[in-house]
Order: sequence, then C-alpha cells, then structure tokens
Amino acid sequence: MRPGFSPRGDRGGRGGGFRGRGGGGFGDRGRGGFRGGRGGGFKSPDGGGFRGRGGGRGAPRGRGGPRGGRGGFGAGRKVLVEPHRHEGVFICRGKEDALVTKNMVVGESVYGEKRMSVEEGETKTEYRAWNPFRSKLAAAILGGIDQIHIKPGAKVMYLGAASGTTVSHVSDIVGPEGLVYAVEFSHRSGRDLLNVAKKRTNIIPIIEDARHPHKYRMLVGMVDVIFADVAQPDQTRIVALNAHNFLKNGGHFVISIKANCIDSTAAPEAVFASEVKKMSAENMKPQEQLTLEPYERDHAVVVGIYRPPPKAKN
Amino acid sequence: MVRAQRSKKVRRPRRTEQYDEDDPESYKNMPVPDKKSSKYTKDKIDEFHDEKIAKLLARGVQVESDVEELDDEDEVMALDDSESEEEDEEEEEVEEDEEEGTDMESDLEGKKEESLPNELAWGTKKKMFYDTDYVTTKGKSQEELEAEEQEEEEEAKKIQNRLAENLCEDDYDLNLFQEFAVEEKDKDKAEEKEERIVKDLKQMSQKEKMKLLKKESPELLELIQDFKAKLTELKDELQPLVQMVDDGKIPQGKGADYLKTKRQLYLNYCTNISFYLVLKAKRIPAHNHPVIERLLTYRNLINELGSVDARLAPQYRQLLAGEEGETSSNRPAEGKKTKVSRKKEKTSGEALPDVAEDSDSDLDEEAALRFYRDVEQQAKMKRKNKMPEAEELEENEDEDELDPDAKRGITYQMAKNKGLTPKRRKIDRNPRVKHREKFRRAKIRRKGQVREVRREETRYSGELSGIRAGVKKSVKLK
Repeated sequence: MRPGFSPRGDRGGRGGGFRGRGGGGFGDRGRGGFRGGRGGGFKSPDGGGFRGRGGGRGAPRGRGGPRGGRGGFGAGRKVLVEPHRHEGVFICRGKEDALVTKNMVVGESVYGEKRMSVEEGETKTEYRAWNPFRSKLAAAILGGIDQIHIKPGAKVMYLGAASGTTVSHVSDIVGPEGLVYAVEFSHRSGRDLLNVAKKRTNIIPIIEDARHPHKYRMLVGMVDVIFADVAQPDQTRIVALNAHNFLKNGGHFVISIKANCIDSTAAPEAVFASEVKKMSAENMKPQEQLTLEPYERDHAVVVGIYRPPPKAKN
Repeated sequence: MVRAQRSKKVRRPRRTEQYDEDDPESYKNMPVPDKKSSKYTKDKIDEFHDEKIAKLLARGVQVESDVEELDDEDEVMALDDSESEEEDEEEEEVEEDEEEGTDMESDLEGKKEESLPNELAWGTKKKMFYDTDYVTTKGKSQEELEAEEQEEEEEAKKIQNRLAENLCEDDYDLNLFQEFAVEEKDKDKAEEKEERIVKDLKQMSQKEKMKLLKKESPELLELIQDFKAKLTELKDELQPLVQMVDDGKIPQGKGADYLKTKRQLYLNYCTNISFYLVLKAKRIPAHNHPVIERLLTYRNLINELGSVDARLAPQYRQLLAGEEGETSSNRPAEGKKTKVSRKKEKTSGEALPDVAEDSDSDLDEEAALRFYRDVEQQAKMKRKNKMPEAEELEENEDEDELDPDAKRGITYQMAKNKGLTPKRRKIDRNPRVKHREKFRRAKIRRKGQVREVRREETRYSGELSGIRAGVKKSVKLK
C-alpha cells in the first residue's frame, strides 16, 4: 500500500481505534472504512493534481507541490476580499470567487492551498483559500447554512480533526482569542495535526478516542461550539458524550453526517431524519439541516443548540 | 489576334480579293448561274462533297461520320501541300478542276496580308469580333477613344452603303417567286405534277373538291358567304336608306351618319374580300398577305355594329316598308337611335357631331320607356354573369330540399364558423413531444432545487458562478 494515496488505509489506524470497542460489525469496511470512505470520495485517479486528505502526512508534499494549473486567484492577480456573512470568513472576489480565511501564520500553507495577501495601507493581511471539496464546513458555508456559530473568540471542540486542514481554517476564524480543541484518534494523521498545532497557538491537539471524553477532560474547558466530523455509526452518541462533558448550556453543535457511514442500506434522507431524532433524545435541539451538494454526495450538516434556555414567557 | 487565327483556320474563298463567303461582293464578278442547274442552290463546297460522296458510294463505301471527319482533314492538308502523294489522285483532280488553281493564290495572298487584312474581309459572325481576350488598354486618352469610335462608325457606314448598292429593284418585289413559279411550269416534272393535279380536280366529285378547298383555306367559303350576304344587305337595305338620307327623307343627324358609316364599312369589307378572292383565283398564297389582317379588322368593326343593328332593325324595316309616310314617327325613333348608338360609335372610335341634345328634347315617353326596359335588361344580364355560383348554390339547395333522404351539405356559414373550435397549442399536438418538453423543463427546475454532485476534477480555484454571502438554503427544523 502506497502511503499518501490511500486515505482509507491511512485512516485505518484511527478507525480501528474507534471500532476497537464495538467489534467488527461492518466486516471489511469496519476498519478504517468510515473515515477512509470520506477521503476516497474525492480522491483523484492519479493523485497528482489533488491529494487525498492524508496526502500531506509525513512528508511536506502538500505544500511543496507543483503550483501549476489554472489559478483563479494567487499572486499577481488583482483580487478583492470582502467579509462573509459569517464572522471571520471572507470572500475573495476575482475571476472566480473563493472562500478564504485570514491566515494566522503568514507565509504558511497547511495543505498546499493558495494564499493571497492584501495590503491596506501599512498592514499586510494574508488569506488562505478554503476548498469546499476538502472541508465540510466550507461546503456548508458555500451551500448557504444559516449559522455556523464558529466566530472570532469562540472556543470550539473539533471531533475528528484528521490532518488538521479544516482545523487550521477554524483556528483562523476564531483567531488568537479563540481556542480549538482538535480531537483525533489516528496517530498518523495526528502527526500532521500536531505539526499544524505547532504553528498555531490556538489549537490544542488531543490524540484520543472521542468516545472517552474523560481521558482528556483535564485538558478541555467549557466550549461554545462542538464541531463533529467523525463519520461513525454512533457519531451522535459520541457528540452527545462530549457535549455533556464540555459544551456549555445554550452552546451549539455542528454535526456533519455521512449517510453511508450510518446506514448504507437506508435512504440518505431517512438516515438524516433518524440522526436528528437521536439528537433530540440527547438534549440536543437540532435547528437546521443542509445537504452538501454539489461538493459531497449524501452528506448533511445539522446545526443545533445544546440545552437551549427556556423560552421567555411573555 | 482573332484575325490572325481566322486567316489560318477559316477556309478562304478562292478569289483574288479576300471576301467573306456570304458577302455579295465576293460573287459580284461571277456569272449568274442558271436557275435550273444545281449550281444555283449549291456552292462549290457542296458540289465537292456531293461528288466525293457519289464516288465513295460507287466504290461501295458507306458514308459515315468518320469519313466526313477524314474529309475535313484532307481539305486542310490540300491547302497546305497539294503535291503530297497521300491524296487521292482523283480527288485532287476534281479539286483542281473546280478551283482552277486559285487555291494557291489565295493562300499566298492570305500570308501577305495577314498583318493588314482587306477591309471587306468582315466576318458574318458577331462572335468573331466580340468574344476575344483583347482588352482595351486603360491608358488611352479620351481623344484616342473618340477617334476609334469615329473610325468604327465610318466603317459601318461604308458597309451599309455597299450592301445598299447591291440591292436593286428586283429585290423589293415578288418577282423572284413569280419567276420560280413560271419556270417551274417549264420544267417537265413540274408540269406533269401540275397536270396531274388539274386532272384530279376535274375527276374529283363536288364533295371531294369541297373537302380539298376546306382543307386548303377554311376561311374561303365563309368569306364568300359573308360577301354575298353583305352585298345583298347593301343593295336591299343600306343603299335605299342612304338614298333616303340623300333625298332628305331621313333628316341629317346621328342616325344618318351611322347609316353612311355602315355603308362605307361594308363596301370596304367587300372590296377586301374581292381582293382576297382574286388572290385565290390567281393561286397566290394569301396566308401571310396583309389583306387577311385587314379583313379581320373590318369584320370586328362590323361585329361591333351588330348590337346596334339588331336594335335598329325593326325601324329600318319600318322605314323601308313605308318609305314615304311616317316621317313624323320616324323622328323620335331617330332620336332614340342616336342616343343608344352614340355609346357604340364612340367605342369604335368614330367621332360624331354632337347633336344629342337637340334630339333629346324630342324624346317620346314611349321611347323612353323602351329605353328604360333595355337598360334594365342589360343590368339583369350583368348580374347573372357575375354571380352564377350563388345561383347554382340556390339551385342545389332547392334540389336538396326536394330529396329528403340525402345528406345535407354544410352551409358556407358553417364551413367558415371557426369560433366554435377551441384554440389548441402546438405542444398539445403530440403527447410524446409534450412529455419530452415537460421533462426538459423539470430538469432545469431541479437544477435549482438539488445541485448535482461534482468532483474536483482540476485543482480548486474558486466558484466560477460566484459566491453570494446572503443566501440561506438550509432547512429549518421545527
């Protein structure tokens, strides 16, 4: 197996970690299949132009890669950056519009994404492009989600941080005042995450199984938002466990659901509905739901509130 | 360029001077051939060919197109080197006999004058002069062009004068044909034919003769009958009436003018017919003779008078019957006659002195009534002609009503009543096409509802369609 071109295999370690307790109910797919499936969804046939999620792991291939191809944005191009409806997110207007975040570590790309710097008088700001094909949060934003609740200064728990691509953008959004607890069980992708966290002071990497929050309870304080992208059949339970431990009352959760990972036999809509139902049972009140077309197939993002404050009686 | 070509290609007439073959100048010096001999119709070339073909036939060679082509070749060669041994000796002899050695001369002359051909050497075909690749140089000045045009004009005048000189008195009349006619009779063969026909005529029965006559000139019999009728009418009716006018029994006026015109017309017509008959009697073909045309015009004019005649006939008869009396009753009738005839006469283009107002005052009530009825009748006729279809329709309806078992046809109103059919859209015509169109539209609509999943084919560089920050598409849950 060639490392770097098979995200499924890469994720195997971590997937196995999650599954270690539950047993091999899914047979062949069970081990690492759930995270791997996600990576495989956008894996390019030759791996040249586009790398799988684990592509940057171990070697700096991600950032040193060839910068060919057509560039809608990048150095030497006249661009205009304007803020998005969601705080901390920006839109780079050019020939093609792109979602960008303000780079915390100027001059560094995390996974080979493009950067563009804008000079306003004396200050020079750098932005990083956010690829919706590699980040479900970006896909949700582009898809038109109402609230992401992740904003500058917020404390975010990120379950399933993987190599830290999206985590880096979340850390950009929350800024130096905010905090990101990035939980990832796979040691291999955890290594990348650690590398990202080395440069970004607001990321606290936790290489632990998200099913056992008590193992990292001493590291984590109360958080405002839990973002979960674990793609496990019991992901709602995992999110609920962490919410019970760390999410403040009236805090929010953003869960990405891959229908195939929950129940590959049922219709995606039915899977989403059942997951939403499960959340309600765990004192998590879902508020909105959005499918991630055209970036992902049969994916949904559910945003909700944990232990909502009782309605003020008028 | 063209002239040079011609001097080589076109066979030159064998004369000391260069003429075109059809130019009258070219055979001006030749003796006029005997009309009876074959020379009159055939020129030397024809004779040469005839002779050759005769010889070949004598030798048992079939005349084919190939042979003819060969002949052509031979001729060209003959011009160039008559001494060559390839030629048939016989043929050569013939040629030399005919041409009397002018062959060489003309050739030599042609070579000499190639640069400046004889002024009479104009061709007969326009094409020779117009269809060249010779282009007038653009640099020519206006004066040069004018000079050229003038030269051309002079040349044209010269040619015309020359042609006019050649024309003599004989060219203008029919003597040529007559000569032929007379001389043909001289010929034995022709005479025999003529006799035979005469004999036949004599032997033929009356019926057969008539048949032949009808075949030859169908108009003859009719014209003869017409001639007789018109003459009798002239003698019996018109002449006495005109006499009455002259005597003063019929007062001067439109009626009298009409009578005179009619007489003139009839007389002219009869004269022309008699001329035609003379032509026929002399056996001169009259088919293309102008008299035929003249006859036709007169006939048409007489026909135009016909309607007026028919109306006036009773009065004429009255006048003729009681010549002396009833001048008083004649007058009003005369007045009426003028009124009606005025229209007709005007159409035939004969101007008449306008005395209508005088006679109008004399109008009798009875005459007025008659006139009114006539007009009414005319109007009725007109209406009938205009709407024969409507009448037919009515007739049909009548018939249908008579026949109760037959199906009734729809009326015009029914056929044209489109207000009862609903307006149908074109898409409703074909259900399959309708469904296809529906599906196409649905696909477009669905694109806005559920976006198709796409893969990251190339390195992501942004959203081509732009990002709208304000759009919220998420589904609110409870």
